[in-house]
Amino acid sequence: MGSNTTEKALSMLRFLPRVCLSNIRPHPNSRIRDKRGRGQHGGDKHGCGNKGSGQRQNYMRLGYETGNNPFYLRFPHEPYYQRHHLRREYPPVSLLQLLKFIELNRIDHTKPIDLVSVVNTGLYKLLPDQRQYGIQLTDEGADVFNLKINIEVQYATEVVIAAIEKAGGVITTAYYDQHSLQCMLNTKKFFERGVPIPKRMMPPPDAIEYYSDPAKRGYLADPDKISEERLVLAQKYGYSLPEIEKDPSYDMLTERKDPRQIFYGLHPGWVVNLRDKAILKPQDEELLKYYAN
Amino acid sequence: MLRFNLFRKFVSFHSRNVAFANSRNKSTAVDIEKLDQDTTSIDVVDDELKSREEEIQRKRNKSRLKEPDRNFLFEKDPYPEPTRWHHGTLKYMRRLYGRYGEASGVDPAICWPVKEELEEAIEYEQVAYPFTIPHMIAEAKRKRHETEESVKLRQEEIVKKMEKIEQMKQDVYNRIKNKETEAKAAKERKERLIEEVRMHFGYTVDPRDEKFKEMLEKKEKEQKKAMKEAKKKAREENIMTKLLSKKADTVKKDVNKQ
Repeated sequence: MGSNTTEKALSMLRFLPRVCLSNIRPHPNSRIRDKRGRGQHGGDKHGCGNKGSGQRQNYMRLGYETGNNPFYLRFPHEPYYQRHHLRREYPPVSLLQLLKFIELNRIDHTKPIDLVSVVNTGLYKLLPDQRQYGIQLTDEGADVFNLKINIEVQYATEVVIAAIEKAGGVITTAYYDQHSLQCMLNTKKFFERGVPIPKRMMPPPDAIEYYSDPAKRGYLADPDKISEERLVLAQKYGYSLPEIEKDPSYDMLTERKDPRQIFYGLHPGWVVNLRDKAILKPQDEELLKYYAN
Repeated sequence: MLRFNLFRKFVSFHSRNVAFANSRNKSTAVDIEKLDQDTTSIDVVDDELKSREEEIQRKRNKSRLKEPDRNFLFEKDPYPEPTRWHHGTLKYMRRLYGRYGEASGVDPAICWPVKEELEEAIEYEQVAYPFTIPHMIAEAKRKRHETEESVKLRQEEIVKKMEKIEQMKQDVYNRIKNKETEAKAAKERKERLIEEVRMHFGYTVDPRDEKFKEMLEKKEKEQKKAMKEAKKKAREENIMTKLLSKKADTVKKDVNKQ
């Protein structure tokens, strides 16, 4: 016991920081005085300025406009904005923009495209802390879209799905929780944090219907039903569905992430070290179980 | 406070059972060992060369940068020795490994959560995500079905009520018509009365006159009496016809029974 304590103390001592300017005590008598001096003892304005409510410390109540009808009372109740601050937002990217990104080599379309590749163009901004949950692909440029891509977005309309599938591509809608989004926004920064890649969490109850719907190409939907829906959509919009099975880029087009996976090719629980160019995988049973579940 | 923090962090590291605390300060220990080895097998030329090289490098460095800044510039660990209180934190150590890799001397085992942290994370997940995906999908389906059902029921109810609306409208029109006819009849009656009173006097009398009023009352009473009698008669007749018809019915029934 005794030797253990001394060992502990010694190792602690070894670990304590060296004495430097930032961790030594202040000079004796260098205290800041807590009393406001008056008159010759440091009187004057005490940092409160000259005249007005600033000097007198009698600030008006918040929102008060000195007799005007205050802004916060000026408009009546608007119920259609109810809980709008809690709703998920999906900042848009149009098909035309996507086409431009690809044609200007900002995105490599021979690989699956996801949020990471769109963010890495530097032309798409996402603020997860403002309840922005990813890309909404809009239908502008649906008539001219002609590239075979495998894209994963967070929200897409029927027209967009039809445009991509008509060109021989594949689209998936997938949900990412805020922590996953934060990892995807700046991958270098995230890997430099030296933490394992987290699990992607499941969507909230009000979004689960969308992401499990084969008509919306949800990532939780049954793949057989999705292929059925592809045919249905082709008939609805009157185009013949290009056969993916015979495509030379079949592997690329059918690559999909696991519902728990955030990055292509990387699984939750792995640590990526960019300096050593190494991937570290946990061996512990419990850790493996936690990250697999 | 600072000491307490450090102590806490230190303890938490200890529970990680990772040998990094030693490895962070390994440099000194290793140097001593190396020196020991060097003393046993003296390589004077190499040592001299090395020290000369170091001297040259030292003299070449005219940047006047502080050591940490210079390290940072050459993408090395800026503080190989812990200097500030936060250099011992888990977050800092992980970041150190993430940035400088193996060269930082941090054991990468600290990147993963220890057992207690893992248990806490699992517990958090159980609370934050209590339902499985199939359960949630089923629940969403049920909810949608419920709302659709309620809308359907309400629409059916409305259709049922709309069927009756023509009849109800007709009823309202009839009632209005009846009221109007009644009002018209009453007015006519009154006018007739006034006319009768005038005929009785034989000349035009002012309707505000006392005489006229008396006569009018009298006539009104008479008319009311007549109306009452007429009503009574009508009722009696009605009852009689009903009774007669009933009698006829009973007779018919009796005949049938027989």
